[in-house]
Amino acid sequence: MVRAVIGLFACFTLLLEPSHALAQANDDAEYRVKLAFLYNFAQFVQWPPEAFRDPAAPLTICVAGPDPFKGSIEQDLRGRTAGGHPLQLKTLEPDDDPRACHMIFVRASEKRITSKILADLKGSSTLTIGETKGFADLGGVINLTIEQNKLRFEINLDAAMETRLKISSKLLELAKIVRVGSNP
Amino acid sequence: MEQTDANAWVISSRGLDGPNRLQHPPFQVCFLEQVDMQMPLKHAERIEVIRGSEASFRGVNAANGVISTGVYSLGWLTAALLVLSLLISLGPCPLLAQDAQAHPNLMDMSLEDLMKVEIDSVYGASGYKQKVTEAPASITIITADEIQRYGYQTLADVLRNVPGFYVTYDRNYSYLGIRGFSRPGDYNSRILLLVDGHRTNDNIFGEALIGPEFPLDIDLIDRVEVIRGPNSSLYVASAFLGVINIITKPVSKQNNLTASADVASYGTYKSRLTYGHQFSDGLELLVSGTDYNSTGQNLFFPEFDSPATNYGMADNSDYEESHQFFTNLTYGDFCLEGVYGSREKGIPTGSFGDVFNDNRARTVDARGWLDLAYDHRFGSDWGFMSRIYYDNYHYDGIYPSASVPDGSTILNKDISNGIWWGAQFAVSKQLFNNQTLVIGSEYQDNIQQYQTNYNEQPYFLYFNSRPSSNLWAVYAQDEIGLGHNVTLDVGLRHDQYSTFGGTTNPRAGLIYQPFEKTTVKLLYGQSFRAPNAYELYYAGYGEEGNLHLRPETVKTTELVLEQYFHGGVRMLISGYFYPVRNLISQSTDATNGDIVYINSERVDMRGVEISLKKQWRSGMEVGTAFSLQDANQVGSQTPLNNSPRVLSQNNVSVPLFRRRLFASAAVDYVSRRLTTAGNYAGAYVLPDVTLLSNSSKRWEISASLYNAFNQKYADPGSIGDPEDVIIQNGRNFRLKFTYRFF
Repeated sequence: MVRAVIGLFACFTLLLEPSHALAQANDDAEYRVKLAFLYNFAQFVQWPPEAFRDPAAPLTICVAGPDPFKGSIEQDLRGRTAGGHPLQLKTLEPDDDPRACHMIFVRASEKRITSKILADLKGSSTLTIGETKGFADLGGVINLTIEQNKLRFEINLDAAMETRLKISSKLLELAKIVRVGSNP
Repeated sequence: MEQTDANAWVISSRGLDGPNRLQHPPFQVCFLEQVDMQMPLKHAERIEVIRGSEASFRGVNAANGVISTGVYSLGWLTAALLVLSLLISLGPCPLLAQDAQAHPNLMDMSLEDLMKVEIDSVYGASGYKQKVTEAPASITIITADEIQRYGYQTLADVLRNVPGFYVTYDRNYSYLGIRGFSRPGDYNSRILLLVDGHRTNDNIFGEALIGPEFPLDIDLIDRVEVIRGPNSSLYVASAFLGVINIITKPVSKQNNLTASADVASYGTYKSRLTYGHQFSDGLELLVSGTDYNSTGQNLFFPEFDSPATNYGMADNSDYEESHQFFTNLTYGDFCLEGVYGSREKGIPTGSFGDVFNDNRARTVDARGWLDLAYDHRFGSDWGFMSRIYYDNYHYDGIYPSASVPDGSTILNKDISNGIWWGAQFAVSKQLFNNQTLVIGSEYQDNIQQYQTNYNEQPYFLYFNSRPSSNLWAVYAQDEIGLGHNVTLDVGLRHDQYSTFGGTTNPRAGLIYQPFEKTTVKLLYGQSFRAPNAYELYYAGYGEEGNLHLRPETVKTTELVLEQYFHGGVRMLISGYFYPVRNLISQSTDATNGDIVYINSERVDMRGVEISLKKQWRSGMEVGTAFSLQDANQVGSQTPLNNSPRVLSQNNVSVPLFRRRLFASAAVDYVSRRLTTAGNYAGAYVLPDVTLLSNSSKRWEISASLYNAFNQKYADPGSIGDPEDVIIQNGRNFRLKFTYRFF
């Protein structure tokens, strides 16, 4: 009997194993919403013209750390544009120049190298977006936070000033404003 | 309508959440919505995004976003069951092709609207405080959706599908076994059962009612949080082995009138009417009434197989009837809840020396309470929570017994009446550097703990006991963030009982999140259970009291690993050691053969549980759990009775047609259990299968087949039962119809 039960357990465990088709169906709701935020940020931020090779060049959103959008979520971006630029998702590899990204989404897992990424981007026109407590205080431009299970975001005005980005007042209205060096 | 429906998108990410409420079970205001506003962190049971002009993004019932295609007839129910078994054998992959539901488009939503979308912070992915994983306990959550899909009929059905839990039924009450521990004569007094934070255990037996005797209709439950161990129960007394916290559905999920009717095997009928209304000034009202009636079976008990006792047949003795009433009024930070349930059950087993096959043998349990809770936050870091309550429990036992001289039958009556009130309050403060401090206190006044036992004709009084007692407690808990991925939870509670004095118990939990989807918890807790009025004073027919009882104690150590994998797989592994000392257990007085409770046993409980669960966006889910447990008397070679070594709970739910028709199966395994006579109650596998159709906005129909393979199985009897094992139900069914008026 016990053997039969172990068999049953094993069978159910096999069912759990994500097969090829199943892996597509990633139900990570949090990142689906976060990607929608990133898309909205792209709408409300204006990059200097020299940030693009030409008016139809893609707007690159880099992900520092494991890409949570891989699979079904990134499909949501398909065919979407911002200011006429098609949106492009890309994983930031160690050798890549972060300055080539228009937006960088820094994953919580990259906590240790956050300061380095931000330092490398000094003076660039890259919009940095984090999801870690204190990211904006460290000098990141936008930080996604979760309050009462809803997404909120902070904007560090000083950091935004250092870039040459124009951030729409609408975005500032909805954000919690923090300054460099301010304490939470 | 069709337009909105086509865009309805539901992510069900159940079960793994429940942040602060888990830590403040007694204080959350009844409804989720309320908690959302007031707790610093919360969870969403499920995320539902309805496109279009819908202003609200939460609390919308999944069924609201579904197109009506008419009522399914039962004709092809059988066919669908066949399909289900086929699908299970083939594996889930072909089903995905059916996930053709329109994809949501968050991308088209404005930032303002996106900021209203609730996300389930369970996955531990963002590095923020995530209270489920941070709660200092091993937790399982069961939602209303699962209750519907798997066709659970009672709270006992829900709980026997929880890893590490099993249920014993003596054809009168249902007894919960936890991690191999289920002692005869224990009326679930070692588990704390809360409804919206209100303690339901009574003040005489300390009993948690979990079968049809539970005063709340299971259809009103939004979620059941099962919290193992005493760790997170600092707030309410008597959580010895764990806490079951039930949260009822908010008005927004049962707006207007709902009518529900069940027809089931053994002449069972249940009907329910629920009315909910949200007034424009913010007042929310919910009223619900349920009526349940079951003829029961004519059961055969081989112990009584003789001409004098109807050849072992107990005719018309298994009947059951119950009435339940529930009301809830919520206004701002206030929540007033009233619950009343009464149940009458025939006892077919001839327990406690009853005359067999006399269907006057029955018990009636009536339980009610009124509870007013207030929960308010001041600024962003102060919280104040309080509640006052008034409770009543009444029990009538009617036991026909043979009078000694002439063999005629006399009626023995067993009556208890408990009345108590109490108050609780707590203050929480978020301090600088990631600390959350909670300080609180509790008082309960047991105005009446009346018990009596007498023979009716001729009158003979066995005993009469009218004690009263009280208890108060103070506690403090501090949650300290140490670095970015370590949290230390420390708590201390002091209880003062008028019956035996005071006791102070510490708890601590170290929670370490080395990677974003990995949580390790090391938990330690001390707990005690005070002897209840029944154990202390009861001296009815064949039993005697014991005023010298001391509290029983346990020191729990548990290591928990929670791991989330890509694709929504959650794994929970738990290893525990619970040494229970001075256990208050049922024993026999050698001088007269009476049942008496003594601080006799020392029991060591140890075991390992592993559970895996995966949910797909299509609505499909698969779960499996396996528990190895070992509960032994210290120094004894034989295992405890009614303690299975192995438990396994498995479930699969498949959307056959989008999210409108689900086929689900829950398969439980319980290994053999030792009986009081030293025999074994055999191992069993119980497959329960349910088809649920919520294809229409108005109708919801389900058909369930329980014990589908008609497995013959029995549960061990207790000392008062003449049967060593008590026969359980064979294959049986239920049809359930629910109609929503708009």
